[in-house]
Formats: sequence, C-alpha cells, structure tokens
Amino acid sequence: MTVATPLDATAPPPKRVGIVRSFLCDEGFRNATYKGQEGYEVQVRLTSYRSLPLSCVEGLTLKVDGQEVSAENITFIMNGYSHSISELPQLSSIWWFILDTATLFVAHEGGLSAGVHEVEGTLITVEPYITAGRFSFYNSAKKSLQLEQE
Amino acid sequence: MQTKHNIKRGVSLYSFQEETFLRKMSLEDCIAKASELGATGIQVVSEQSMPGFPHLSDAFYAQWHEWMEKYGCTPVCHDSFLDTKRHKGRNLTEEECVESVIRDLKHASKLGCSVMRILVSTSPELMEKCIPYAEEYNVKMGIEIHSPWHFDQPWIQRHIEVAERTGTKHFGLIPDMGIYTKRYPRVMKDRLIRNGATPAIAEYICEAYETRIFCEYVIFEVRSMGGNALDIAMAESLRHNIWSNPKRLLEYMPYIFHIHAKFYDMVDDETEYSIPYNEVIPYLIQGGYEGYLCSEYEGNRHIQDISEVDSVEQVRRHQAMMSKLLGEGQ
Repeated sequence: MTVATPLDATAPPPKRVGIVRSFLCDEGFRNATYKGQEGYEVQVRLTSYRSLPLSCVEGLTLKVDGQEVSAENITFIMNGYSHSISELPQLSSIWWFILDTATLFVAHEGGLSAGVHEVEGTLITVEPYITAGRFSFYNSAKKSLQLEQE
Repeated sequence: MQTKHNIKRGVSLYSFQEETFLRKMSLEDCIAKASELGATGIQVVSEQSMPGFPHLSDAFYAQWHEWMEKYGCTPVCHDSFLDTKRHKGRNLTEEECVESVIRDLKHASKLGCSVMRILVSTSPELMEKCIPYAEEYNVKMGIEIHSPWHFDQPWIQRHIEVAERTGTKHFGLIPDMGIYTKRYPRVMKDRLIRNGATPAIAEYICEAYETRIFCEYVIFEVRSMGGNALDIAMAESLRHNIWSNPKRLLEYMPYIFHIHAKFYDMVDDETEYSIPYNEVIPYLIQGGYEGYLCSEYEGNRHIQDISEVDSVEQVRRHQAMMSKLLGEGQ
C-alpha cells in the first residue's frame, strides 16, 4: 500500500488513529543489558489478525536514527525465551500470540543517548494458510520514541 | 411471507478483533457483549481469541464452559485454519494436514462446538480422509463457501459430491454471506481512495461491479484509462467479490448447517451497505434452515486508518437487522 494522499490539497490530512495497531510499541524503549552485553530494547507486536508460528516471520528490520541495525545484533525475546533473527525460520512450533509483546534487544555499546530517537521497523509475515504462492505482508512503522529512564 | 422457523442468532468473536487487539475487550468481554446483544451462539477464531492456542490447558476449557453458562451462550463454530506453509521451505505433507484437522476437531469438541469451519482451499480428497475423525469427535466439518467461490463453482461441486457419495452427516457447507455482495463495499472504496486510487476511476469500478460487467473487462478498461497501481488493484479486487443468486440456497440446504453472516458496513439498524440480507434471509426461512447466523464484522480493516473502530455498535446493528428479518418478537 502506498502512503495516503489527501484528496483535497487544502484539506487537512486524515487523523490516523488506527496507527496504534503499529508494529512498534510506544512503551518500553530503553537502554538495557542482556547477557552481559550493553544495548537497548524496543518492544514490538505482531500485526497479523491471528497468531502465527515464528517460522512465518519472513523478515524483521530495524533502523534507529537512520542507521540500519544489523540482524546479528538483534535478539528476539518473547515469553522468557530468546532467539536470534536467523533462528526464526526454524521455529514452526512456537506461536506468537497476537497480544504478546516481544522485545528486540539490540546490542550497542554504551546504549543510546538520552532523549528522542527516530525508530523505524518493518515486520514481514507470511499467512501460512493462503494456498497460492507465498504471500508476504509488510508492516512498516516509524516513530519518534523517547528513551525511557532505566 | 413465511415466518415460522428455527434459525438462531450468533456472533463470531472475530467481529471484535479491533477491540481485542487494542486490549479494550478480553475474551470474556467479547462473550458477554455477544450475549448482551441478543446472540445465543458463539463462533471463534482460536488463534485470535485464545492465548496459547494450540496448547490450551484443561483449566482454559473449564473457564470457557463457565463463561458459556454465565452468559447463556452455546459454543457453535470453531473456525479452523490449515497452515500448509507453517514450515519454511516446504508444505505440510498430506499426513500432516490430516493431523492438523484432527488437532482442530479435538479442540472444537473440547470447546463444545458442533461445527468446524474448513477453509475453502482445502481439497475434497483431504476432507474425505478426515470424515471418520469428524464422526468420531462428533463435529461437523463445513467447507466455507467464501467469495469468490459459490455453490455452482466446480471446486465446490466436488466437495458436494463427497458429501453426497459418503452420505455422512459430518461434512457439508458453511456459506459466507460475502457471496451476496450486491454493491461494492463503500468502506473498501473509500480506503482505496485514501491510499491513492483515483476517485473517478473508483466510481467507474463500483458502477461496473453493480452492472455485473465481467471483472477481466473492467481490469482491462482501468488499464486503458491509465489507472494507477491502486486503481488497478481495486479493479482486480472484483475478482474476489461476487453477487450470487440467494435462491440457490434452497437446492443446497440439506448440506448447510452453519452460516457466516459476513458484513462490512451497517448503515443503520436495517441496512448493510453492500449485502442485502433482506433478499437472502427469506430463502433461509423458506428452505427450513435450522442453524445459526453468526455476525462476522470485517469492516474494521478498511476504516482503522481514519477512524476509531466501533465493532460493538456495528454488531449491535447487524443483530438488530437479523432479528427483524427473522420476524423475532412478532
């Protein structure tokens, strides 16, 4: 889907309240240490209308302040278990329930500086029941998030 | 008009998916609301409403049955899926497909559902293999006649042949009322325009749909007009929408034991913008249909970018409309 364009150039753009269904959560953006590593956390949600096995996450990308985060630096943490992004395709028995928030821990020496950061993320999922082809659904979100106090 | 019948009203909790996702309504809230709106039957998409599915505890099922009793509801239908692509790089084998159906039959049975929805894309051969299990767990498997499929479509005919030939009571049809989309849903049109479709071309596509011009001709015309990607996507969406003749329900009635009462946009307490329930329900009454009509609201995804979604009000209107068309309280 392309970005919405107002029909009448003089009219204000539509108020996009539905954005709360975004892949990126507003809360829980903070510096953290995980397994002795310094870094920060971003909270994310599944945007599909039904729960999916993690093997149906086709891609997950993150950009902070315009800088692409390398997938090797991201740990996906859900319900107390952690996985690397490259492990996800194998996890066809672990379900991501639509109301479960997952934490993306990003290894980053010294963490992020205090203040607001531009966070962008894309989640690509496959609906595993659709017969024809392997349809990918792209859910992109971009938010200015305030780094929370630890 | 014939008004004596045994048709019951239900709600698919799928209708409240927006409120569920936004944590405004819990599973119990959804059941309570359905009951409050006068529905007595509950249909559910388990991957959406039941945390932990497919691994649910006995305590969950006990709680489910407590809720059913508390709110005076009957569990009716579990909408099953068949995730043939859940493993990266390969499809499920036939054996794994049968296992998946059995898993869902057991779950439906534990929920107390007498019916299980089978996705329309599921093959007649697989269904035939699963019939003994449906009989064992006493859950009726119904192929969802979902737009753009319809009763006379060859793929559906093959399913009906299986039901006829085996003579089983545990395999049949679940029509989705989306097959009676008489007008192009305005919520879909408006969303496509907001996303960049050209208003005049969108208008042309709606008119072409209402005059039943073959969808491939409409797609060709829109390309010729120089339509943009969204215009072409909207024209192509006609391949997935259909108005079929509700009279055909009469012929297939022996195989129909559940109905997904799909809707997109209740204008008021009497009118769905694109699906004329007043032209369909009389045939259900005439044909002696005895199952549930479960409200299935699917308009949320077309308006969530621009407005607050009020699924509860939409379902309230839909239930009010069905109650009136069923002649309740007369």
